Amino acid sequence: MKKVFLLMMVVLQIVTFSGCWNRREVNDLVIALAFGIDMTEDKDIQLTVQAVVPRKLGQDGSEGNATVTYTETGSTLFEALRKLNTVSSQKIYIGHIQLIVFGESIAREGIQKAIDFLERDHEFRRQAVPVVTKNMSAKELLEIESIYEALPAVHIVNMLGNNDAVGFSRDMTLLDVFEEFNSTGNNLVTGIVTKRGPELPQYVKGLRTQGTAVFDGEHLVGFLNPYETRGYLWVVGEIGSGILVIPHEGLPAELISLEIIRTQSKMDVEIIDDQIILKVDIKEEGNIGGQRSPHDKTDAAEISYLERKKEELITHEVTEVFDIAQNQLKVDFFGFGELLHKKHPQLWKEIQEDWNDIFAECPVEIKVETKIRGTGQILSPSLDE
Amino acid sequence: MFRKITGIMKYLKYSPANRHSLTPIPKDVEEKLGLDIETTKKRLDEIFHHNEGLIIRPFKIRTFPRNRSFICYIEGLVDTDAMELNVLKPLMNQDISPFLGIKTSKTITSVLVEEMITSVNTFLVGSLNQVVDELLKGGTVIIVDESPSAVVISATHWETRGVTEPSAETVIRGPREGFNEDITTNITLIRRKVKSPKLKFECITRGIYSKTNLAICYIDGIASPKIVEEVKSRIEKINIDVVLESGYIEEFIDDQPFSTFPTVGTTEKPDVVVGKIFEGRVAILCDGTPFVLTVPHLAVEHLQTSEDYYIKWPFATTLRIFRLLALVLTATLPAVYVGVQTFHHEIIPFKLFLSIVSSREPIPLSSLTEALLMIVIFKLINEAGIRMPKAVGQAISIVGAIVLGQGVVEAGIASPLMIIIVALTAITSFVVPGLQNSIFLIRILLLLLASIVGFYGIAFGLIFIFVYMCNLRSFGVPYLSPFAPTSVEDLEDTLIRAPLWTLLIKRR
Repeated sequence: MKKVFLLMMVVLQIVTFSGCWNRREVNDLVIALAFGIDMTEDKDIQLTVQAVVPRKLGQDGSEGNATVTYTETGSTLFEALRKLNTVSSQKIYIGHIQLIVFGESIAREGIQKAIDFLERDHEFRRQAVPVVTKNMSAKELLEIESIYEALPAVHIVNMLGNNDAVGFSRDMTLLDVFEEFNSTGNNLVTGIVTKRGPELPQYVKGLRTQGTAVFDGEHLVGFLNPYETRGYLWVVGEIGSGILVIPHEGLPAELISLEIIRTQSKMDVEIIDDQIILKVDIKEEGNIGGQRSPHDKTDAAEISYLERKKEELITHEVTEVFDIAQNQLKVDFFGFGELLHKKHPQLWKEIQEDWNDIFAECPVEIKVETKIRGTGQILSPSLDE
Repeated sequence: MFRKITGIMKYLKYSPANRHSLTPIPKDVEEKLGLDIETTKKRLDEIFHHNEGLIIRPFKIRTFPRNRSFICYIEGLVDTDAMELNVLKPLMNQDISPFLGIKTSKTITSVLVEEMITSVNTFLVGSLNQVVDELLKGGTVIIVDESPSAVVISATHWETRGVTEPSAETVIRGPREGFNEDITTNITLIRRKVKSPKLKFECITRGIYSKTNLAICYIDGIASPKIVEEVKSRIEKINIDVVLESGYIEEFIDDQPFSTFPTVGTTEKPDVVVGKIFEGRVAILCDGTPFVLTVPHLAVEHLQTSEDYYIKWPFATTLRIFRLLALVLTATLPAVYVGVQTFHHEIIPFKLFLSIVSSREPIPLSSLTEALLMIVIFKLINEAGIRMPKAVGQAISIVGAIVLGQGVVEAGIASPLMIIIVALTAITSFVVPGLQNSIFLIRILLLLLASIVGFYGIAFGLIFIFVYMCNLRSFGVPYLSPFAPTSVEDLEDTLIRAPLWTLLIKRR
């Protein structure tokens, strides 16, 4: 009898310990690819979902994209999402979401309204790629079709990811957004999507993904252009690769492009005589990628000239972005506040409230070290004068 | 409740009432051979009434012309050529009376055995029961008038299958010979591999009517005497009318008659048996079947093959890891697939998820139904393939592959991915043939659990199965050893096959 009792206890555990029971076949789902969150003029939240149409996926030569977009408004994001179920054919499944688009409208208004649900929901995929639109709404973005990919959202995600090779946008996931959004003394910087021309393009290829959006708390306060973005990435050490273009000595029209291979950066704050000093230490290594000028650049003097020039360029880019942060936006989006918080917690407590203003006044020390490691497969150009 | 059921089963197993009882031959009453030859003949006729085949041929022994005698045997069991040459010819032609003293104390039959019959295996028996037994075993009996004993010449001859390669246990490298249905041949095959008096064969006869010969085979000094005794005592307790196959013995000596895991191993190959008995195991040979039992039988033996020891050890080790992989796949793959399909969509990579979605899009069945359907279809094809005459086998493979495989997909009943999963499950199940049947049940159990609660169910089911396996014993040896309980020095021949020079002979 004891054994039977034990066995029944064990079997009961299967049912009682299994947590919430959520059994769904894959073909009973509408698989959401992308969320687009906008704010309407009545301060309601407008949710646009791009979802997969599986029927169109496997077919050869099928016309158009295998996606459909549903739009619904609600006073909160969750309400809008639930209301969408009444429009879509099946329950919307958000476990495989690829792209989260924050419309410029909601970004200016404050993304806290949108992020809270994303953080709270257990099913939401943290590896989704976040992006902010510029000069367009999230709904408009998600209704643009792709020629190459069957799923436009995937195309946009790939475009954002490819910025890794030029260093013009930030490669991040939703989880990074959560971390940066929640940390004290740091502000969010995300990638952006914008139109190439004044008109809304028909296809994804008419979009640009270069540049970043800067937040102050939950509000969007400004955009960085591609080179300013690279300046920002130098500071936080997130440059994957990129091309630095430098003029030839004495011949400004004859340009040399240098590929970034390895970078390393160290941010630091120091307090000297009650003055907070921001320090950035950047180390970079690269190759000669190609040159316009027909002059040999491979002797030691020329190499060290190029290295010096590269240093100047990087320093210039970093100075530019510090100028924007300290003088124009007055927002510490690098995370120096976080460093200060870790190093001098007592001080941080006192100045926490006015950090952005103090940050704007801090002197900055930028130290850049560069190296040229290789010249590619040839030394001097074929036509060497 | 379970105790009641097991109690009933035990009762059925041991109940004497359950055996259909023919009137048994009275064993205890020994019937003396009559001095009168006519009485003996009548008695034999009575015993073998309605049993054509007993040949009785009267003849005269030249040396003793006054004593009538006859030779009798059962047709088909006896080497008649040898009888003519070695028995009848000398008896009927030679007269050795001049060499015998006139007054001899010897009986006629002992003179026959000692001085006239040239066959090797010749002896005397005293009772009619023994005469009947020997006749049935294939002996030839000479009965002489006024003699209290009968001469038995054992020179049997019947058709046996040759020593061929067993179809279920083929190897690329290694001996190709396999056992056949004749226990004498099988014993010979083992003896030829081990030329040592330490190799022991102990013969036991089981089956009230079949009187099947069994031989317990082990290496003296390597096999644990406790296990040998245990095997003997279990076999001696078997009370059954007929033993047709070693499976009968297996079911009686099994430690856990209700277990789905085999705790008695079988093989058809003499080199495997020799390998096992040198590891300290005991083999049980059974007349009439090429399948030899080996005990104790542990789970790890399903990962081992005889070929592992004939190829280089790194390759053997790799193969064992693949076998383990196959074992895991065949048990869990459909369950994992269904679990992923119904509960854990998140863990599939996005692109794979899309292709799963698009392939499942037209399927109206739930993935559990789909999986069960395909597993059942495969099982049926498999079963039909075994039972079918060989000539129709091709038809089955066409029906199986094209009609069911392709047709099911085109009709939108199963997705191509499910076909792949079931095919992979089927292929991997043949990698560990000994566990095929138990794994089939585990697969269904895990599949059902996965369809109810997903991966949680699979984990639960696996824990349950492992706990159960830890409890199993085969002749006192834990079924999962040497993994559980862990014995480090025994691990050298489990997942890895260590080089032969490091493998010690195991004494269990």
